[in-house]
Amino acid sequence: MSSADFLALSPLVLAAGGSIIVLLVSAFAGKRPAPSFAAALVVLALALAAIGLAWSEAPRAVGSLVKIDGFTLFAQALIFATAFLVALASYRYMAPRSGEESGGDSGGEYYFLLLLASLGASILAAATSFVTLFLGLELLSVSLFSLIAFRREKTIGAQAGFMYLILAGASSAFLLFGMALAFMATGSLKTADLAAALVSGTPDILVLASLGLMTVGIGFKLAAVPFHLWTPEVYDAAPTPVTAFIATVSKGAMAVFLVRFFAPSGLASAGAYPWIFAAVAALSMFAGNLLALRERRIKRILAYSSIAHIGYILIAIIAGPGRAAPTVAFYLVAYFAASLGAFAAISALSQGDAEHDGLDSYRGLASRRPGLAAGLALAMLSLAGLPLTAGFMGKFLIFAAGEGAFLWVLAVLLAVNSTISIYYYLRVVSIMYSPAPEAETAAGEAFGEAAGATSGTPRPRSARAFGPAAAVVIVAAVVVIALGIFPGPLIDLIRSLTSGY
Amino acid sequence: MVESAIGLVLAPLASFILISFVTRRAAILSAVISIAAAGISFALSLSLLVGVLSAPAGAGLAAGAHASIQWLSIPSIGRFRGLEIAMGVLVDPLSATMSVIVSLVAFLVTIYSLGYMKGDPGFSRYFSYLSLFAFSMLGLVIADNYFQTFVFWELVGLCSYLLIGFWYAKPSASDAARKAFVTNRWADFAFMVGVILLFIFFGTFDFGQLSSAIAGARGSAMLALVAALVFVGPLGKSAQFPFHVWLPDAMEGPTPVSALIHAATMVAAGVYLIARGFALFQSVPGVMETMAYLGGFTALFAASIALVQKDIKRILAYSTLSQLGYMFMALGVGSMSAGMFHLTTHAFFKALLFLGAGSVIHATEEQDIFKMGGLGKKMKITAWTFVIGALALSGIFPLAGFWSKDEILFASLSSGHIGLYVLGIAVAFMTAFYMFRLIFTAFGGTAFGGTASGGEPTEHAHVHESGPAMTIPLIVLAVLSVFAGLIGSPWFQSAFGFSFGSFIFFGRPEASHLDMTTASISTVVALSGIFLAWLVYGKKLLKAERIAAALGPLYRLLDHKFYIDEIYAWVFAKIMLGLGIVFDWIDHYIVDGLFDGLGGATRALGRKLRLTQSGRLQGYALVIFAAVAIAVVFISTDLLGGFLK
Amino acid sequence: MIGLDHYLVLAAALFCIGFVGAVVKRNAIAVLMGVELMLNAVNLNLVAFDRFGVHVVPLGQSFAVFIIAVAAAEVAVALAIILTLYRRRSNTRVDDLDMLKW
Repeated sequence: MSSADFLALSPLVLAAGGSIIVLLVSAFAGKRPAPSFAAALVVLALALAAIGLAWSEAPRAVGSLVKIDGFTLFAQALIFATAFLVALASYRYMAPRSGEESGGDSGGEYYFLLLLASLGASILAAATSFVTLFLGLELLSVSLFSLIAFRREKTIGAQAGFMYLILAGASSAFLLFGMALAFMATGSLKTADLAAALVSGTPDILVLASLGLMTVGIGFKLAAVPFHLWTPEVYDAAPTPVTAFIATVSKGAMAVFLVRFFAPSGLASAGAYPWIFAAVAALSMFAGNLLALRERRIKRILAYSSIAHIGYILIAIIAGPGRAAPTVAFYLVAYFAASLGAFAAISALSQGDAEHDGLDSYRGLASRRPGLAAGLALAMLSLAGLPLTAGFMGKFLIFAAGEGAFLWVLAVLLAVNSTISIYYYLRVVSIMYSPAPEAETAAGEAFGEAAGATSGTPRPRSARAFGPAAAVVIVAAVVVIALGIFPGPLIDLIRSLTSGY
Repeated sequence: MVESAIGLVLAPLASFILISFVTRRAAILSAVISIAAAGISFALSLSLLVGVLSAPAGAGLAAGAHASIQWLSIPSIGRFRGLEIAMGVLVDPLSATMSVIVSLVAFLVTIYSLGYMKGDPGFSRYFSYLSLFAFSMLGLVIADNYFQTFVFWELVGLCSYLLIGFWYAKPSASDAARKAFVTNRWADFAFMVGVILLFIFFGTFDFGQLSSAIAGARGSAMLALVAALVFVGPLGKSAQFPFHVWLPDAMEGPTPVSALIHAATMVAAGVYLIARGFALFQSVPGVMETMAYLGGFTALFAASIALVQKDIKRILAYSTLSQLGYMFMALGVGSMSAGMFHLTTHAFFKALLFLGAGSVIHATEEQDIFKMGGLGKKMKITAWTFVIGALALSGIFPLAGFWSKDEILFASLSSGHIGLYVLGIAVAFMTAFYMFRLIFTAFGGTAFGGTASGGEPTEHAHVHESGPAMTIPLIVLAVLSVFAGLIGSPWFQSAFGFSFGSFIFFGRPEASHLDMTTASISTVVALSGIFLAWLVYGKKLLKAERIAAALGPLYRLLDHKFYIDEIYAWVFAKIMLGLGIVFDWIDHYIVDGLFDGLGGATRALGRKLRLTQSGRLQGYALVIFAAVAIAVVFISTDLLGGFLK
Repeated sequence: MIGLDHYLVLAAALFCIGFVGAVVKRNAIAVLMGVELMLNAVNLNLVAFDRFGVHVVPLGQSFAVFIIAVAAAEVAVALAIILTLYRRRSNTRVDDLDMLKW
């Protein structure tokens, strides 16, 4: 391995080495999570910085396993930055809660697992071979099993972790079976060879079957219909920051892989594949949005919403060479920012006392915590795709990527769906801005009253004070607004990075 | 000129930011900032108008100024077509006039709100929203392309949402806000698709470039499609049938907001947009005809509902719907001048009427006109200005409404739409009737609808005229309602050499004229409407109850607003939620059911049932497997087909 | 003579048995075993391709080693989770995972 290879891989190397260090720190720090938290933040920041180093070497294929190019680095930067914010949002949330047994050990390993999961996602985003695809995927999955089940005092988390484990394991098995068939048909483990075999005139039955089987593994991670069934349960039961991670990084990395696999080969617009994509996209949009209409728990609403958003992203992927990569990249940034904002706000609300997951507990939030309510509302509006938010620009770019009758049908379906989605996003907003039943007297003084002045029952000071999760809400809000108003610079950057696609 | 245009948009934005982040605790200061910003906007918009006016008459677009900067630029690469979006300012007679209307009404309403909202806990918040609205609306007015228009279009919708739901403690208010927003989103969805198609076909969003591009594409099917889709946006914003349902409910907001947003400016944005993109609509006759008849229908439909409403604000809301229908009718028959002229005069007298109603509500804390009465004696200024507004709305010579209504009627007659002409006359009659029904009931007679049983009811003993912050805007608007119409009169034409029709027009200038036949018919009709209202509600020679009883089913139909709300509620409940339920059901039962069958567990009772439903995980695995099977078969259909051959 | 086809059929059969096991078994550990069986079916496939294929580099075998390693990690985590659940409710029946209901 040459020094250039090493430089190109430096973000991955740093994250891998750093995760070991965080594990050691957590072992030595005893019950205090703070040192591991700090170490993880440092490692993630270093990995982000190393993206710059790697950029000097891009594009570079390291063996046949990974290829580091602009798009990959963009995705990795996004993954590490998101993991950084998720870690911030986790700090108070994962701290031991009063009145609950802490189970003997601290939350230090949590940050180790988070790092490992980000590493897996970054490998996934760089994979050009079945081996790295599988390794990245499993690194991500295995860390997520533990993260979902992390709060041992809550059985529900363990149940969700087990469900996720079995389903992820089974879908990986399908994926691997598909890879084995592809290996037999093409004699190669490179994804590009499979793509080439698929676009060639008459593909072998083995090749076709392998693609069908691999769809499961990919669809499962994306949580696209019909592989979405686990989403509401797992989103609901996992610790909120972990849910944020699943909704963003885990899905995003797979979407990036999908673009890298499909877009350059033109596969996404050849033969029967666009129809599969189109069907999955349409089903995901409708199922996600319609199921969310009747949902009363906010994390489940966001779970369904994430299913719908994957539908939108799939439309962009069908757009094919030259269009898929930039559109998906921008959409991911917009979606990540809004999702992070929403989940960070939920985390900030849920620390210190019981989970805030039923929509009813959000009634009157605007008068109790105006800042968080505004952040959550902004995230909802961006997810809904209102102008001047990042979400609108994202959807708009998907529209603009559409040309030709086939995509137009989907683009119109997208518009229909984003209109349907207004109902439930707006419901969250209006619930927050309607008076709390027990605090009706205080309802009028919503505006200008700082947090904590009005609500009836006093809560622990620490739950109220400005914490890292609130900072994440602010960062997300700034990104959402900035991208909504000045998307130009980011789009230019993305286009220069994805010029090869 | 461009600087003034940018300044008049940015002033309210600065006010919004300042109030939200700095002065939100200092209520009075917030109000002062908001008023100052609105005043600055108004002054700048006047300077724009003067600038445009001083250009040679008939100069059209050349009289204004146009500047834009590249906001988003994506170069074309390969098959990916580039995307160029500009943010710009377009100053021409149309936008200059509209910005004067918007900023003037906004200025007056902001001052009025000082009195109306006094003591409200959300005082600062209210003024920050007002400023945000002024920013969005003015941004919409001076936009030079469809994209920017769309962005501000959504923003005014958001402001409308915030302000309708301003008293969010009232469930009815937050419901109404949501209804307004969601209804508008359905219309905006078509609008957005239309705008994007427009871009795909013509490669630009710019109004100027589009009008020349469209000229070359006349008669093509895709132009018709685009025009039809874009047309749906104004239908929603201007609350035309069938999107009208949100506007009456929007009256849950504070009354000054109803005056500003839901009478004078935002709802007129639809009309404005059609005028702005007239080249597009005018090139598709089908859309123009639809526009004319839909407008005419809405005018009649809403006026008939207004006949039986009891809530003072709802009467005015239906009246607004009806008048917007008039404007659509004017545009539809091809007279942009007449439509914009009516928009201008309507903005003044309808704002006046709403603010008058607000003054009444503020004093009596009552919205049912049949629980008012005798207010004319106690609130002299309010009463007189209200009567002026009502006369202007009814189209009585020489008030503002007379001129603009006659323009519309004349335009429909001269374009050969006799049916619409007759319909317009009928609406004029109904308008006069319902307005004076309101006036005779609320302001005339004695308290409580003139039960005349002697003695002043104590409830209204405290009623008195509102303070100067509220009455001064009323007086200013009353003066405008009297005189604003003259700018479109032949006298103005002969005195100054130009008039509204030669200032704002599409194609060729329209000279002002006074068609004596139309003028006399409409005046007679309006006067007889007033007379009938006087007979029934003033003199009480005819019993209103008896009329209602005689009309039976028709009355009920009107009272329930043609049951449109009920129909929509049914559609939403049955179809949208129904689909949600179906998906939910599939998740619950098909998935679980699969597992139940395979696992051999029996669906017994209570607890047992709960146990069997819990094994979802394996049910999920089965669904995944089924999906794979389908995917593999589907992907390899080509090969399977090969086998069969 | 045992050829590639035999291995392929065996692997497919193992895969199906594993899947059915994962779907119908009531015991969490048995479900886990089913999933592991599916993974091992894949390993068998990969190794068989290497043996009968014409590839010079034994890619399939090295991939199989990766899969075995990952599967071991997965089992470790799975058992830890099952243990947590067992401590709480002293059985490992999948049907008892009922807290995830709506």
